[in-house]
Amino acid sequence: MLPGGATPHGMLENVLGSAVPAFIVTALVSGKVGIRDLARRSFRWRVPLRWYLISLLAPPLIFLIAATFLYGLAALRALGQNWLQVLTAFLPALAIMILLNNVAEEIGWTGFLFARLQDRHGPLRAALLTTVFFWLFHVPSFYVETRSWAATAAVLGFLLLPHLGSRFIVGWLYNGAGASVLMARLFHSMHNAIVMRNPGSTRESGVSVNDQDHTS
Amino acid sequence: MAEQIEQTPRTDVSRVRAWMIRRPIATFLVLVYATTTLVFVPRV
Repeated sequence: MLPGGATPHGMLENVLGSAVPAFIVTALVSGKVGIRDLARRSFRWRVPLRWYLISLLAPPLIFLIAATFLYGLAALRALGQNWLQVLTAFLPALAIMILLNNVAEEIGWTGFLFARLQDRHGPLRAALLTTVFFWLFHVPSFYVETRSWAATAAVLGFLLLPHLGSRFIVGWLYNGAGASVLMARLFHSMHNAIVMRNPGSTRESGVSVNDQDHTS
Repeated sequence: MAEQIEQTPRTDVSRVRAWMIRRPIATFLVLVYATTTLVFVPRV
């Protein structure tokens, strides 16, 4: 296992199960022009600074506000006491997520699927439809993590609304930054790095299933 | 007859290809779910 809870299977799932199909279908439908367009959107980094700030700061702020609401000032005190872990554990996890995991995942789900659905149905309906397919995409990995269909169903049920919310935000970031999949990736990576630093959470879901987590 | 048999595979391939081009989103989803299942099945 890699820092931050990233696993070779998770990376393989994202590369072979998301980016590769996106490039294959794009090549089939639009040829070299389409491939170039998808690659350009996937790595578009020249966007206004505010989109970097929103992509990277929104997830920790949302989590901090939620934790403070749920646990009071204890959450902020715990963060203050463990600030060194931000440098030694959190930032390496974030780097791994950005470089290895979410690059491929968002090329498929945002760069290909959301973008195509949006052309036909508009951004809101596209985000809604992408949520359904993205949510189902996680069934095999959740099952492997929990080894229980009941736990998989519970995790999926718990994650439906967060997935829906995140797909709306990712779609907004992608469009706002001028069709930049990179912004979607940064947001997704920051989110995953935060939930996977939570001990006892499943790698992908961030939901605690301590007794059933058999991944090595 | 022999000509017909020879042409069958090519026709099937071109039909599949035409379907994939007509339905890029469905093709993408089929590839995605098939691949993730194949990646994860050996681990179960």
